[in-house]
Amino acid sequence: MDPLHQFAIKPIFTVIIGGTDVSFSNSSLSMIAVVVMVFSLMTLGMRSRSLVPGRLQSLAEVLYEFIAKMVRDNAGHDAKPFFPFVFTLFMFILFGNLLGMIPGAFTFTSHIVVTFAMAAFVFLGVTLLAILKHGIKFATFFMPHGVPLWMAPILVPIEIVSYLSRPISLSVRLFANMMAGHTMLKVFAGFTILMMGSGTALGYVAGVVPVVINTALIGFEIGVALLQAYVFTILTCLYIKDALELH
Amino acid sequence: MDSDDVPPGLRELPGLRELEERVRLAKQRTAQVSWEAPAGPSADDKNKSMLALAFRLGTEILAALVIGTGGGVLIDGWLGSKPLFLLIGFFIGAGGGVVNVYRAVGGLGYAAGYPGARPDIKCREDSGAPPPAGSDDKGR
Repeated sequence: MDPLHQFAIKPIFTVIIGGTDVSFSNSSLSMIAVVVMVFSLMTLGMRSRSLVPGRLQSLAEVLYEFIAKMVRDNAGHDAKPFFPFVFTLFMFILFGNLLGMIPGAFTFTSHIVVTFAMAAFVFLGVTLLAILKHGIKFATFFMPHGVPLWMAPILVPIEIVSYLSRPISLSVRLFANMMAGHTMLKVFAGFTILMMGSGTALGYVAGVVPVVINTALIGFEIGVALLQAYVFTILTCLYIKDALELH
Repeated sequence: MDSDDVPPGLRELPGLRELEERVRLAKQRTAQVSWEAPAGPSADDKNKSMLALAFRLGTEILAALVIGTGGGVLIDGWLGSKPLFLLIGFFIGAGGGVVNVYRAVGGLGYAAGYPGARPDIKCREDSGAPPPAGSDDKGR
């Protein structure tokens, strides 16, 4: 079977508005599932508000404190107003990645259009924040301090390219990691089917090997799912810090 | 939660005071047991961020190259100067990619326009490495 088949977007309800296909797809469904899951975890988990937390409340608190600490350490105290945004972003990506680890589930973070939309939102928001906060001084961001003026024609374009590459690297990193991991899992699973399909005894014995490899890969992929959510969020924090401080 | 963070009203609750006492005792106990209490990030934390760094570097170069070359192609299409700006854009993109990687590894703050290494974000991911050459104002 085609290992890329799992990434196909299938409409569930076809909706076409003004010639644009805005169907409710399996991708939309898993995004809604993630939102519902995150919302339930946070609201149900915190409902008892007990001093000594239960399991669900502990999980909610750990996640909250993890991101609160991340924002405080990496973006500074002034970044407190952005905590809700960063937390939402982290939970959405984390649960999206982990939901994709359930066999048969759709991984919306393996689509560049999704990750790029998030990265572009972060990029535009951060740039707007910097411009609103610092006005024209924002332009000094592209001219390193203490550099002779004659080097500006070389350095300024490099700095601008470096700045503009942020949303690309942010989105490609998440999308590529998720897509590569899921493709690899499917390829190894396909080996088993091919070997078993040969019908010989050797085929049946050898067919076990990819299953063993896949077991290890699943663990690795869960690690990647956590790590990529972490990386996306920590970089968002650093970009917010840059926008706020502008050195 | 440190006791300093507790709002004054909450500290009066008897349950909380008891919990605080228990937390203090537990902390004392663990402090006695673990003789090498980690001061900074634990080895596990460090491993995690090293891995995070390794996953970042490849895309940093790619992204800058895409922006530089893509921008060059767009300017060429606009001015009809093919392939002049494609070539210029490619080299600027390559330069930007190197700058991105350099900053990511040097911990200079992952961003454009850095005057030098910032003491507050110092080599988070590779505290063992010496500061990269040119991390002072003069070198850049």
